[in-house]
Amino acid sequence: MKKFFYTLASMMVVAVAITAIAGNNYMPHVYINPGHGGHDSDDRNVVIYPFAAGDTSGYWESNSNLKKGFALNNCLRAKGYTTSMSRVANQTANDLPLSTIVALCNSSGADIFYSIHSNATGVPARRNHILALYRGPTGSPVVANSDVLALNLVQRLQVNAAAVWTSNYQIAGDFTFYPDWNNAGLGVLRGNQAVSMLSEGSFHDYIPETYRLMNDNYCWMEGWNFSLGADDYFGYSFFGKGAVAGNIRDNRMPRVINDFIMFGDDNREPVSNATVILMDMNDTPLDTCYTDNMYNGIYAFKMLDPGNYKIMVEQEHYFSQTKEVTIQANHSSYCNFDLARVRETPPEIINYSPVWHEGDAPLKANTPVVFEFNWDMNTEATEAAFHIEPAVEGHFRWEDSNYRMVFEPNDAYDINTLYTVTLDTTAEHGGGMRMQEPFTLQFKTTYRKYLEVIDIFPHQGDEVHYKNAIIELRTDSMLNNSYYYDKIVLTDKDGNALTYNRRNTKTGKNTDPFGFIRIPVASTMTPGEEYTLTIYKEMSDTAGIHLPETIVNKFTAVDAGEEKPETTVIEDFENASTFSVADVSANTEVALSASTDRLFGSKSLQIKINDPLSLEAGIYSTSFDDAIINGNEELSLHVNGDMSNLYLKMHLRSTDESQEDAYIDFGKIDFHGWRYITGKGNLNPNKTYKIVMIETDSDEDDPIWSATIKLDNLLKGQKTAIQGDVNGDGLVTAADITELYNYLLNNDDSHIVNGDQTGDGIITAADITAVYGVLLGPSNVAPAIDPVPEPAANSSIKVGPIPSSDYIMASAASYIMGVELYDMSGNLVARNGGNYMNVGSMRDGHYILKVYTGNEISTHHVAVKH
Amino acid sequence: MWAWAMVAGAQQVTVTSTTPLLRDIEPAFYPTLSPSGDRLLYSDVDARGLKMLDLGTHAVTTISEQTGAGFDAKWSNDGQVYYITSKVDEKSRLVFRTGMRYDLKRQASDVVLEAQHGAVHLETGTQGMAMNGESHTFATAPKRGVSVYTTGSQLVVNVDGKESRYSPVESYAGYLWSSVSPAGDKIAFYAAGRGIVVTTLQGKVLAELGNYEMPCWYNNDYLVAQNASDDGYQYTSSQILLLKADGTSRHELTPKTSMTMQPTAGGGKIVYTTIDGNLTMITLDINE
Repeated sequence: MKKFFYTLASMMVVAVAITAIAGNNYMPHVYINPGHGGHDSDDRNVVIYPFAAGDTSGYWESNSNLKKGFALNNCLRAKGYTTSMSRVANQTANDLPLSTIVALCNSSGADIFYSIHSNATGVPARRNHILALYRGPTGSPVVANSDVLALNLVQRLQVNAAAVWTSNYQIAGDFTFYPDWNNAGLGVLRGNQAVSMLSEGSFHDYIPETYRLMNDNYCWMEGWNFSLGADDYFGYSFFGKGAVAGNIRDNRMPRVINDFIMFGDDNREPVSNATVILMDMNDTPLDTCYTDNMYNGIYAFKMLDPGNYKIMVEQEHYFSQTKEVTIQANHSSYCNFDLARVRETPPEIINYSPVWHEGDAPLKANTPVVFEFNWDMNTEATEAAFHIEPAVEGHFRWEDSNYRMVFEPNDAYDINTLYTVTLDTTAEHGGGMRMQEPFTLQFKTTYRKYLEVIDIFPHQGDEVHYKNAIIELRTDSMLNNSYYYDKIVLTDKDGNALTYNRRNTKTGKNTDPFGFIRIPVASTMTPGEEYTLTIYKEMSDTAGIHLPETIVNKFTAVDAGEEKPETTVIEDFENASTFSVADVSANTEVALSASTDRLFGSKSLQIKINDPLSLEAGIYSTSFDDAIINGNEELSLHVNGDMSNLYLKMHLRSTDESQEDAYIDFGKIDFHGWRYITGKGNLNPNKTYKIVMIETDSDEDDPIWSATIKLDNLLKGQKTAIQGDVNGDGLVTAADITELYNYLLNNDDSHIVNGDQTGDGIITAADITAVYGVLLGPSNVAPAIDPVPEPAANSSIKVGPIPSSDYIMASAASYIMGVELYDMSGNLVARNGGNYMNVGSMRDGHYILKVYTGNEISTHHVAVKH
Repeated sequence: MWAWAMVAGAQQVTVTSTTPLLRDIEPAFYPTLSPSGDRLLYSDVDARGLKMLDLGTHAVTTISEQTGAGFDAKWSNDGQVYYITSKVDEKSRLVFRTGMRYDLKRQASDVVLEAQHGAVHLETGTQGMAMNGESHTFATAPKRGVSVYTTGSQLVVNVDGKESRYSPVESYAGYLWSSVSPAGDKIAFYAAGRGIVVTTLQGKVLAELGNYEMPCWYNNDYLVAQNASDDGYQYTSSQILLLKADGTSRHELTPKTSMTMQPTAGGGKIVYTTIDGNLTMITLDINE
């Protein structure tokens, strides 16, 4: 029987050997810093099943760092090194300040310093590789040989074949690794006089790696590999022991818990609770270990004598497997196992959908076909055995570790069509056995294929008040209430997504006449700038029916309340008590009230109308009596709309004896938020008018029977000529050509406001041609844009204090590379390669602080006040 | 700059002057004031090299350009400068440390402790100086009044040539930054994970002042210290505190956001730096 445990005698031999090899009486002293500690705010907790956030039994970086540190400490001491550790427990008090760790290391007389960490991306993207950093520019460490120490370590860590690496190791001086670092450096390397480095051994937010880091043997192997890196650095090879570890996985079945990103072999199910037996070449058992139940499949045998061994793996649901492995002194060996499950019966479909029979109601045009099997299936063979008639392009999705197959049409099935689906007997399970009988199902589709848009706000080319904007999508059926924020995206001219007030988002209910999502925009827009509303094709209703194509509407932000020169306020709507309902049908409920949601003064007038048939009403104010409008003037009104499609107009009456009625049309309230509307209508320029009332109405075909709008300042001003608007209704239409034509026929100019289009002083046929040219003007066609993702809502970066008089600090879950300060005009004011900005000499005011981590750039509004 | 007046307990502490040092010349770290407060030692951010600033003439003298020279440089009671340099041996790759003394009159450094492997601890005393290495040691005299240094979790106190070792409080990671009070009757040190401890010369705990770092005697009744926090990678706040040695009061000399650190005191002055190396000297008025 081989002797595989290290003994006191072997340690004594080691001590003698190290003395002899070093050529002196000195043994290296290693300072070990297991990073973080305390399960607190500057620790790193990754929530993995079955642990809740904050559960100290779950994954914390401080736990795995400490396990690695203990292993390294024990391995080094077994080899004759002397060591110090910055912590051996995991309370907040053990998480020592950075300057203390450095001073303790220097005080200990350490030759080398290892700071043990693991990494995280801090963003949704995932990867897994080794990063080693030392202080100084790459190739020119502040403390000589720190780069060599780092290289010796990463070469030992990279051989870990129990992990899945997404790239080779990365090693750098920290000044070079972060170009704008400005020599701020990692705190535990700053001032450290030992040959020193910080290791990010793997990525603990890559969840398969997170589960591995929960395993004691896995952490032990990393600690052991650290000790081999130290041996390499000092040129030691006398220890004479080796180790073997590996990963045990199902040979084909995908992970059961799989709601995270995986690469390579990590896609397959780790085998938990396996018994792993180390044997000599005569099959004599030497040692036994077990994989845990933490979804990692890791095993290890430690401190083995060099030689050939066999390793046998047993698990009740798998065929056992044995492999030979050679252990070398001062090396780590890795031996992974891919176990085959025991599958004793042929595959069968135990459940399926849709279940449809002739005479049943037809199915929606995107109904997936689902087969559930009694075994995990060979996906390639089973997909090849799948047939659908008439043929339709689609894709397969496998769920539940290949126990469930889902077929979905890429777009939608044809409408009103009978489909036949067959799975033939070439479908086989993971063990290679085929289905004994073919399986067939049929279903018929309905008439409906796509989600239909009723309306969208903002419309293409709209002008939208820059504050408290609301966007809305209105559809012919109830929208799917899940995950729609990533399908309806509002972006500025630079493609940055605006934020939504999600709490106040409204969605349609089954009792509503249509489906809708109405989202208040939390961001304030910049007047004059263009914005883009993109609604992606994937936006779907509760039946999963999606849009036929992505919709892109561009619009411009404006200040609806900006000053209008050369106008007079003839009604400010400040006093709601002067208004009354003048004309209303029997069923209509009209409520008038003052609202603080206003553009001017302190109040606006809110008009709330309910009516099961129409929204017809008239509203009168005593203050209207004082307002005189000349026929050559135009009226403008500030309206806060609710997209109720209410029609709004002003009823006027001439002040002469004829008392001629006239109407100024403010259009359809098919928008949200404040809007400045110039009324359209044709007053006689030779007469004066008084306001009779404000009138509302609705379209009989529009299924909205309630509206709440607000009115603010009503203005009058000289009518502005619009080129081509001959009749003065505010629009350029064929009616303007007719108006000119009638003039030429009848020489009646009573309604012609702007007839001389050519400016030649007379009205002729050439003016008709000029209006025709205006009508043919360019149309606005929105170009397609690339989808813009929403920014990470859960950014960990925090900045403060605000305001600050000396330093503004940034903190984040990952390392901060640098910060930049910009003034409000976008000019770079200062840059620093650390997590702080010295603002002691900067002028008072508002600034933008840009914070750079390895994976994220965030901007923060900050202020300086001395 | 801050001009704070602080009241805590029965004292009123006022910052009476604030003087920037070495601004626009170079960043400075690891400041160490001479006992008289007329000279200041400093180094670069990585403690490479050692320089001396004459606070009267503002002249700067380079004492050493060696690695590690600035990390733990100390003044002796007779006005000499002692410091330790470190070097990685190319063959064995072990770190060797050398004890140095700078003579202000000759303006030259001498080796007082040959290069050796392992820890070398500087021992400061009221009447002398020592350097304690793992292989060999140096002392200005066998009796050095009251002197102290730390090794591991031990406080080593030497009173008139008699050495005693104490472990007044538990600290797995170890003790640091020990010093004797100006009157020679108290010792202050830092216990990792626990904070600043003040003891008698016999190691009896008189007070625990809080989990702050780098204690330094301002006078026989007060110490200055650093109160810093970090996120495991970088500092997130740092300030300078004035602590009464009996533990009865604490005054914030700078705000947490100031990123001030590495305090030193001498001759009634306090000097500290910032995370980016801006040195500042202040004076106080303490109204008891």
